[in-house]
This record gives sequence, C-alpha cells and structure tokens, in this order.
Amino acid sequence: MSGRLWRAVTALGSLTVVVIGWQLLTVWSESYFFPPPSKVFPHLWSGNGGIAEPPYLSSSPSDLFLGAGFYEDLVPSMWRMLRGYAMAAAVGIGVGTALGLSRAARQYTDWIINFVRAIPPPALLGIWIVVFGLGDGPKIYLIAFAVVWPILLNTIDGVASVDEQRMQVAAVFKIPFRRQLTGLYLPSASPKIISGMRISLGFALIMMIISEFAGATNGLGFRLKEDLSFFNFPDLWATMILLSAIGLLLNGLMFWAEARILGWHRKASEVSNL
Amino acid sequence: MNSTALSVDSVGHVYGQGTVEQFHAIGEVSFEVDRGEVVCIVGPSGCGKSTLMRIMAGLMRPSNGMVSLDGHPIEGVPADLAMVFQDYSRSLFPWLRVRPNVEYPLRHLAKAERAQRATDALADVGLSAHDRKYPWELSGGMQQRVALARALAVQPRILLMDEPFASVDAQTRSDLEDLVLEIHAETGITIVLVTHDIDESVYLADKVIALSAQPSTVLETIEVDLPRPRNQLDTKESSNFLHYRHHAYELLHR
Ligand SMILES: Nc1ncnc2c1ncn2[C@@H]1O[C@H](COP(=O)(O)OP(=O)(O)OP(=O)(O)O)[C@@H](O)[C@H]1O
Ligand SMILES: [Mg+2]
Repeated sequence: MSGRLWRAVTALGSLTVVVIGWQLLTVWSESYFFPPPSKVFPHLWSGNGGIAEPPYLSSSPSDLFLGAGFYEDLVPSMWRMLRGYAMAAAVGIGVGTALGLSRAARQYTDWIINFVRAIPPPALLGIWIVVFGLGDGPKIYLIAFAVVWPILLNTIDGVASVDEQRMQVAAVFKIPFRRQLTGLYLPSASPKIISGMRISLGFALIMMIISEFAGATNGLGFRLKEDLSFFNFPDLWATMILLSAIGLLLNGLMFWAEARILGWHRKASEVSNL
Repeated sequence: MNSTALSVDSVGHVYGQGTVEQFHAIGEVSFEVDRGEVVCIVGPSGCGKSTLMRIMAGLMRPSNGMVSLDGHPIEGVPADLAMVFQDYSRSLFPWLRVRPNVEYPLRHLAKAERAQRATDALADVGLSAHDRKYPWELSGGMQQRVALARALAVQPRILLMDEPFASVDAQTRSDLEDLVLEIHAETGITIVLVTHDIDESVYLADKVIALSAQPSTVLETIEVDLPRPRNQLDTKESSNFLHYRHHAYELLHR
C-alpha cells in the first residue's frame, strides 16, 4: 500500500514539475501557438469570449460541474468511439474465433486480411462519407474498420494456438462444441484477445478524432479542427489535455478489466510458462 | 465375466506418412484387455505408448489395424471412457480452480450430483482441502491427482492412464497405486495404464504388455497371477512378484 502511495506521490510530483516547466517556458517564449497552462486550464471551465467553444466543465455543483461542451462534444465523441470499438470487438472476436478454429479458412483468408489491413483507415474517410452519408454511421464504421485488426489477428492466433492436449481432454470428456468454445477456446485465447483489445482501445481514440475532422458538426475532433481554423489555441490545448486525461482513464479501465479477467494468467505465468 | 472389453488388433502407426519426416512409431501391436482387468503397458521412451493410448481412446486413427471396444470398432471417443493424460501441466485448465476443473466434464448432471461427485473424487485422491486452489498453485503430483479425480468423477467403465504417477514422489506414488487398486476392487472398472516402472506394472496388473523400441511390437504379454487384494509389503516381497519382475526386467533390458 505504501508502495502505491509513493508511486502516486512521485507521479503527482513530476506532473507538477512538468506543468510548472510548461508555464515557465511558454510565458518566457510568449508564443501565440503555445499559450501557458495558466491560460489553457481555465478554458476547460469557460470559453474565451468571442468565438469561444462551450466549456467542458462548469463551476456549478447543480450541473455536477459539467459544462455544455461535455454534453455537446465529449459525450457524442465517446459514444461514437464506444460503438465503433464494440463493433470491432464483436466482429474481431467472432470472425477471429471462426478463423482460428479452421486452418483451411485461415489459409483462404490470410492474404485478404493482410491486403485490406494495409489500407490506411483515414484514406477511407472521404469515400465512407460519400457511401454512408454524414451522421454517426461513417465515423463509427471507420473506427471499427481501423481498430478491428489487432483484435481479429490476436483472436485468430489465440484460438489457433489452443493447446493440443487440452483439446484432447475436451474430446475425451465429450464436451459439446459450444461449451468447448466458452470453456476452452475463449478462455485459453483470452490473454491474446485482451492484449489485442488494449492496442485497439488506444487506436480507437485516435480514429475517433480523425473521423470527426470531416463531415462532423460536433465532437472533440470537430472542435480541434474548428479551434485550429479560428486560431483559438487556448481551447485547442484544453481539448488536448482532456484527450490525454481520457486516454489515461481508458487505460486505467483496461488495466482494471484485465486484472479481473486475467488474474489467473498473470499469476500462472509467474510459476510456469503455460 | 471374462469377456473382451478392448481389443487391439495389429495396430501400427506412422506419423507424417509420405512426408520426409515420416516416422514409424508403432510397428504392429496386438493384445486384448478383458472386462474388469488391469493391464499395464511398459516399454522404452518414444516407443509409441502415448500414441497407442490416443488410438485406444478414439482420439486418432491408426495407420494400420484397428481397435474395438465390446466388439465394436472404435470411431471417435467411446462412451464411458476416461483418460488421464501424460502431461499434467497441459491437462488441467489453468483458468479454473480445482473443483470446477473436476466438474468440467459433468455439466450434463444436476448441480447437486455434480458437486457430490467432485467432492467424492477429490476425497479419493486426498485433495479435499485444496479444491479452491488453482492448478498452478499445486505441485506436479497434486495436479496429476486432480486429473485423476476428474477422470474418476465421470465414473467411466474404462480408464486409460498415461504415466499417471511419473512425477509423483515415491510415497505418494505407492499411495496412488493402492488407490487405483482400491477403486478397481470397488468398481470393477477396466484399467489400461502406461508406466516406465516395472515394479509398478507388475504390482498393479493382471497383464503386462511389454513393448519393444520403435517401431514397437509386443515383446511378450505377461500374465501376472498374483492374488488380490495386493499390498505394498506382502505382494512386493512375495517370490512370485520377484519372479515376474525379474522376467519383465530381462525382457526390457535385453
Ligand atoms: N504428432 C506427432 N508427429 C510426429 N511424430 C510424433 C508425434 N507424436 C509423437 N511422435 C513420435 O512418435 C514416437 C512415439 O511417441 P509417443 O509419445 O507415443 O511415445 P511414448 O512411448 O509415449 O514416449 P514416452 O515414454 O517418452 O512418453 C516418438 O518418437 C515421437 O517423437
Ligand atoms: Mg508417452
């Protein structure tokens, strides 16, 4: 416990140093593009007059300290990202399991997967807006398309490398196929599936921003683009700070989920290589 | 009573037939296991004992010959058959605790029945106190006992065991040997057990199948005519036991 406390203290300490350093540097340089944090942080709470964006936070307890920007930009962005990510997870795990189970299917699809995967997702944004229209659809599909690969490939790998003898155990005890799936293949592949999902999660955040650069009327990516075109740098940096906080939060959630689901794996790996 | 349960008929196996790495594991092996019998297979490492077990379990088809159970050729894993695999570390499911591991093949049963069978099987192998641990928290010998409990819990009529006690300390080993004999006496289950240990094979078996190095053939089928119930001291000190042991040893170290 004291170890954890110490880690928190050191993290907080270095964060303070960084923010102070940032303040000193930017105040000294007086660059228009790099406003000091003393100017940026207030923009999380209040707009800067004129062309201000709605702030994410509020100082009013009756609003739960949440500002209009939270509802108008942050929530729609996160909702798109969540749906895209969920779609990628469903497709990745579903298709990955099917391919992992069949060597023949893997051989047939291997080159297709590698071919399609090689397309840089942002290149598709324009086309997808044409095909799927404006609105959330193309953004969600773009996110899903971009982040499905680590989940898909890791699931294939995990399911295909289930231990031969454990499969024989399931066969000898006549476990029905569906229970082999839930009781053997998926748990056995779960360390790889989850590591794919971790990679994809960070990637989903990036794709969420990119997908909102075109054909969007709200969202964090839309705001970044607007702030840039209006030279509204304090707001731009405020959104950047928010994004980094979201990234940290998602990582923490992932870490927590992983510890819960893969507790057995971490501890088992310590005593032997499975 | 003495009808044939398992019949291994001119079984031969070649791995990777037709490839460069083709490997002739089993030459030609024939023997029969009567219902309620304990049969031990001994032979040098790599002579195809595990391969033979997998064939008898219906997990793979032999290149030649066939195996039948109760007169029917084996196609797929027969009902009422359970198996303890050689490699205990890859036999249990590390994401499940001991008790769910034992209950895993019992899902078709009602919950209470399932729990009762797991409780009994774990008590039989002396692991009642460890049922909430994970397999990787147990020693190798304990893991193998969990695997044995899992096999016993399905109450099979025929039990295949592939070197079940190879990684168990000497004392636990003799305890487990006696456990197998006890279970055999109580249930009349048919047991085929692979071992490296000549003493173990003679002590347990009604019949010892001695295999040659690969491509393996049956060197001899030794009928072991020692009275049951057997016990570690009297049986192993009897002149008959020593005679069988001597004979098997000469056979395998020729
Ligand atoms: N899947 C496989 N593909 C190719 N060769 C194999 C395969 N499995 C086993 N072999 C080979 O066949 C031979 C017999 O293997 P098997 O595991 O049946 O021997 P064993 O008698 O059980 O040995 P041990 O006493 O060491 O367990 C070995 O030489 C092994 O290398
Ligand atoms: Mg073997």
